[in-house]
Amino acid sequence: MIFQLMPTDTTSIIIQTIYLLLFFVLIFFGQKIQLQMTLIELSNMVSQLDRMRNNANNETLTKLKEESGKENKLQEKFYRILDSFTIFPESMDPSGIVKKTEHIMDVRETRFLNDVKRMLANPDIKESILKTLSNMVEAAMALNILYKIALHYYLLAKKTGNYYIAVQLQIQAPLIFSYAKAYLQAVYAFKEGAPVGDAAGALVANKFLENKGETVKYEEYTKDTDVYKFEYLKRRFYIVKARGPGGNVGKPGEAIKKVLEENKGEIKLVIMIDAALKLEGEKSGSVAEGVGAAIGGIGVEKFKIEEVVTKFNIPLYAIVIKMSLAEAISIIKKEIAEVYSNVISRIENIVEEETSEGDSIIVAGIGNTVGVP
Amino acid sequence: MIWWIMQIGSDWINYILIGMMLIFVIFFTLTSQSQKNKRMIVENPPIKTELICLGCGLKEIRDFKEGDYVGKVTDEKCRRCGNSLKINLIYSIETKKKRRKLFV
Repeated sequence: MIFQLMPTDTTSIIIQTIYLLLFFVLIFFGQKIQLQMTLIELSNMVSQLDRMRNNANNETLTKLKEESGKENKLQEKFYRILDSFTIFPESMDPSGIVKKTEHIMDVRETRFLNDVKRMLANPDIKESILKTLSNMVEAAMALNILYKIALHYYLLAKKTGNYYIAVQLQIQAPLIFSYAKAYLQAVYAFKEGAPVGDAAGALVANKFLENKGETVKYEEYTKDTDVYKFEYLKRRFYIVKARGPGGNVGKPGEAIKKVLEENKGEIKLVIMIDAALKLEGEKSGSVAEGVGAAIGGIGVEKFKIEEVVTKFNIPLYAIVIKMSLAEAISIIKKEIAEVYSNVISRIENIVEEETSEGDSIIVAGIGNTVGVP
Repeated sequence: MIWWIMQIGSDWINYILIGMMLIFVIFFTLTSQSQKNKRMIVENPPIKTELICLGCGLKEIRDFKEGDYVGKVTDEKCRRCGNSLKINLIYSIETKKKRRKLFV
């Protein structure tokens, strides 16, 4: 009876045999075949990341050579900096971790800047160019780390033959690429010395300062941070921003703390302006208002601001300009740059609604000041 | 349709199915590859510097030059009143054509 189901002519027998063979091959070796296919895809991805990394390194090296006094050992020193790392403090006992983190970050920043300075061996180099170049090296470092992590998981999956390690990397591939593209664009942005998307907060602060009559400038009020004081809308304004036009984020938390402590009881409101990561579907350059400390980074500056405004019981308002990660670290787009007038009118509205004449207000423009003095 | 399938026989159905599968595999491979290639392209759109006249407020836009920063008073003069021009904004613009490819 069952033999009646079997094909009788030669072609059908061949086709049926192929189907049966395929069936068993896929049952016993399906995952291995899939692993090999995934590894081929990952190998392409890793080699693309390698090319992006080399591209970033070459661009950075070319720019460094342009600014360098002498060329000897520049390449060797550059690759040494590229492999440098930071070990964060132990958090098992979190008491005092902010101070420890701040100390480690300060040491890292000073060491990094000195390393770049030594590498360039150019005593005449401007501080702003040096800061921008160090930002460029940092972007190349980020791309380098991204490549190393991707390569690590690819080789681990290949070595162990573990399909699930390979799949994890494959799932992350689009995100890894978007980050890699963003960092490569950041290298180009810092090479040009033009403002990046993250400079939106500093740009608003800079524009808010324009045409305000008599303005007192406190240079280096805190490390790499300037404070400006002027009268406007029958109120006193303190503008806090990192020092430009070199690539710099400064210490706005420390500056806000110092202004509040020096003007006890006078400051009635703190407004922070910063770039914020948008959700997919949100428009780049859209503006949103809220409360809290609008500041990114490792958290040290945010902690200081939250602590000091709580101590003096001062309301803390935030205005954010939405953008993607790639937009934040690549050259500022027109629709993001032009939003400053909208943000300024929102600041003025908040100030008129929430404070009275004669009050003092702090407006902090947060972000990298590359291309924005 | 059923009558047509019965007429051509099971061998031909197999050939048609195998042919269709091959076409699908080739099409899928080519399209996914072109999408991946698109993902790898990093482009840098042109950078523009917007200048504003300190005298009459006339706005001018030119290509970004190294050393430009927001608020810098340049050596350039206003073509309407001859006053100095200050950099108002620096930004990149999205253009559909003539993008400079940085990396492929």
